[in-house]
Amino acid sequence: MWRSGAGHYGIVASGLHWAIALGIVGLVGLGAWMVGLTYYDPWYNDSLALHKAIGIVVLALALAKFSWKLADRYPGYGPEVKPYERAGATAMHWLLSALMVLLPVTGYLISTSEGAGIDMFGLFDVPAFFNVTAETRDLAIDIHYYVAYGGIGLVGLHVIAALKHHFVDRGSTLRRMLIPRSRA
Amino acid sequence: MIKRALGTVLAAAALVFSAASSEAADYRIDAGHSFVQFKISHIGVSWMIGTFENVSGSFSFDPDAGPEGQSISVEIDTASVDTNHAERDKHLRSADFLNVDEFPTATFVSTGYEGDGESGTLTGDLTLHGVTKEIAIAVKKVGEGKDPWGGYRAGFEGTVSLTRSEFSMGYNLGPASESMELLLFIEGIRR
Repeated sequence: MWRSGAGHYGIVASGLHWAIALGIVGLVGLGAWMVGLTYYDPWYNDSLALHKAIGIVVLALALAKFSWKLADRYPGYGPEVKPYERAGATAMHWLLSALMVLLPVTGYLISTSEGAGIDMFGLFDVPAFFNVTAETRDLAIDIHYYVAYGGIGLVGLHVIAALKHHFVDRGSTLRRMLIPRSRA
Repeated sequence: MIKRALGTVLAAAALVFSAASSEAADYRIDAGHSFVQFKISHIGVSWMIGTFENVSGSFSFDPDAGPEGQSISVEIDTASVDTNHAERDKHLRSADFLNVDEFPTATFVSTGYEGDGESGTLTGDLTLHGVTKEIAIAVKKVGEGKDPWGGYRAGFEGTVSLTRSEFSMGYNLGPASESMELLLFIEGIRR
């Protein structure tokens, strides 16, 4: 039930997948919206504070996902996924995994570059561990920007592929991620 | 005859002297002792002060010459804006405000003066953020005299209120912050 098995996902793997997906897509949307806010907008400060705190949550979830993957069993691809699709899917999964780390880490470096920690919803602070230069910070801003908007493109392809396996190939790829423990 | 010749020489000398003295009314702006600052309301509760660090130019100050003898030309490096907060300075340099990549220099060139050797109104063209507008600066002499190092200096202060939107910098900072005060403290060394 908790762990995945051949041909199906467990609750933990599926739950982490959807939580991270929601977090990242939500954060890109929040980010795109908040950078358009002007100084006098009531959300000018709170939107950024929320973006930072949720970003740290996504990083924690991503690290949990990678750790869990090491302990979990591998469900494998469904029979409807062709060999060349498997290669593409595996590459995509690596890219999305890189994105899950790169986005929050660059965001963290940007946010903490002036020495201030990140306020986690008023509960506690994640301190600034690194002291980055202004140049590193500007580089982090560029990476954060391009990986975020480029990442939405990757997510789009990932979604299209899942829908293709579901509607065109009539396989279980999407269903087994949506409903953990459903057999292939 | 001799008297007349002498008179001509004296007149010529006086002419040369007056030419020399009007030349001596030209000053080079001492960047280290000149400050171009702005003061803008922060949401109506306090003031935010900014400074442009790099200012250059020259002026003519000749109280005896009347309004025509007074003029100034100033160049301001817009990227040198400093408000004591690196993040804000970066925002001020961006396209939301000064857009320093496209408009690296702001200039003021005077076109007229009304007043005397102590205070008056200096009119001229301010070019800021690519927009040129005539403004009138209330100016006052702070002091003039010899410095301890063999030079001669004169210093002035001036203020003018600018509406940000008139220079296409209408980014919403709230109703209290639509206009700002430009504070000028200009010191020059006579050439």
